[in-house]
Amino acid sequence: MKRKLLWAVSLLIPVVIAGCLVSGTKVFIIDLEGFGAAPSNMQTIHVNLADLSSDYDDNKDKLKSIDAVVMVGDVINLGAQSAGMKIYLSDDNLSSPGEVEDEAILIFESPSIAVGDTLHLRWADGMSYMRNFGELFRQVKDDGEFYLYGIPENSINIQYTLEIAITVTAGL
Amino acid sequence: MKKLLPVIILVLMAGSAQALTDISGGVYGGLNTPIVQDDAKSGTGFGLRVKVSPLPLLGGAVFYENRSFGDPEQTFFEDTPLERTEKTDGGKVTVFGAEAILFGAGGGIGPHFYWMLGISHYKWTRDNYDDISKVGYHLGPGLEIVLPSKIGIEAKAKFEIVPTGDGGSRKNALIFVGANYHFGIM
Repeated sequence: MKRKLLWAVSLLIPVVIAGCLVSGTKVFIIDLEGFGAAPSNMQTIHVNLADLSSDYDDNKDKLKSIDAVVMVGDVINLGAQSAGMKIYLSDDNLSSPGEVEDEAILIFESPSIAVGDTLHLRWADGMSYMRNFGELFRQVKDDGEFYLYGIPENSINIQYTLEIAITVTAGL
Repeated sequence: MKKLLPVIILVLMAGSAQALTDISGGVYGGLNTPIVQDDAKSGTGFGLRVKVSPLPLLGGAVFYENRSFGDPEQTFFEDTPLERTEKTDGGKVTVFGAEAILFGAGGGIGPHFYWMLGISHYKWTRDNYDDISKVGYHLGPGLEIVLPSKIGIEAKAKFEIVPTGDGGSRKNALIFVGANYHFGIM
C-alpha cells in the first residue's frame, strides 16, 4: 500500500510541476479615458477590459489568477476645502450616489487631499488605497466587464486622471 | 564526440572516487533571474550550504538563500502629456531548503560534476503587497573543483519553480559561484 502511494505521489509531482511550467506573470495597463475629467457629484464609466486592452483580450481565456489591481494617476482637489474621493464597482448601471453607496462595492478610497493639492497615485504604493480585493479580482477574472463610479467626498471639485495596472498569472 | 563522452564523465567524477565520507560547508553568490514575470526583474543573491556525502555518487545538503529582485517598470499614460514611467518594489526572497546531490557528491581532490534536485520553503516579501510563502522545487547542474587545501571552487545553475495555486507558478533561473571547505575524510 505504502509503495503504491509513493508511486502515485512521485508520478503526480511532475504532472503538477509541468502544468505550472507553462504560465507567466503579465501586467496590463487599462486607460480610464474621460473618467473624472470634470468635477461632478458622480462620474460613471463602463469598463470592458477586452475592448480597452488588446493584451487582456488575448489572454482573458488563459487567466489563472489576479495578483494585483492598482489605480495609478493623479487626483486633484480644485475645491475650497479638504476633500477625497471613492471609487465603486458594480455589474449594474446605477443612477445616483446613494444607490451606488448602497449596492456597489468600494474598491478605492483616497485620503483627504488639501485644497489645491494633488494626490499622486504611484504603482509602488497604490495598493494601499485599494479595497475589497476579493470582489475586485473576481470581476477582473470573470468577464472583465463592469461599471466604475467615482464619488467625491466633502467637495464635488475633485478631478482625476487614472489608469488601472492589473497583474495576472496566465497560461503562455 | 560520442566515444569521448564516457571519458569526459569519468574525468569529471574522478574526484568523487577518492573520498570516503565528505562533509563540507560553503558560501555562494550570484544572479537571480525571474522567468516570464512582468512584476519582477533580475537581482542578486547569496547562500549558505552544508553538504554531507556518505557515498561518492550520492549526497544531501541543506541550504539558506537570501535573494532580491530588481524593481520592475511600466509606462503609464503613454503618448499623452502625462506620460510617466513608474516602478514598484521587486522585493526580497528568503529560501530554506534541502537537496539531493547526485553523481558527483564526493569531496576528493579534483573535479566533481553533479546534479542537484531539491525542495524548499520560498518566501517573497514586497512593500505594499501580501507576502507569498510557498513550497518550491529546483533542479540543476554544478561543477566543483576541490583543491589540495580542502577548498573547493564551485559554479552551479538552478531552475526553480514555485507553484502559487490555480495552476500558476513563479519561475526563476539562478546562477551561483562559491567556495566550500571540506571537513570530511578525504
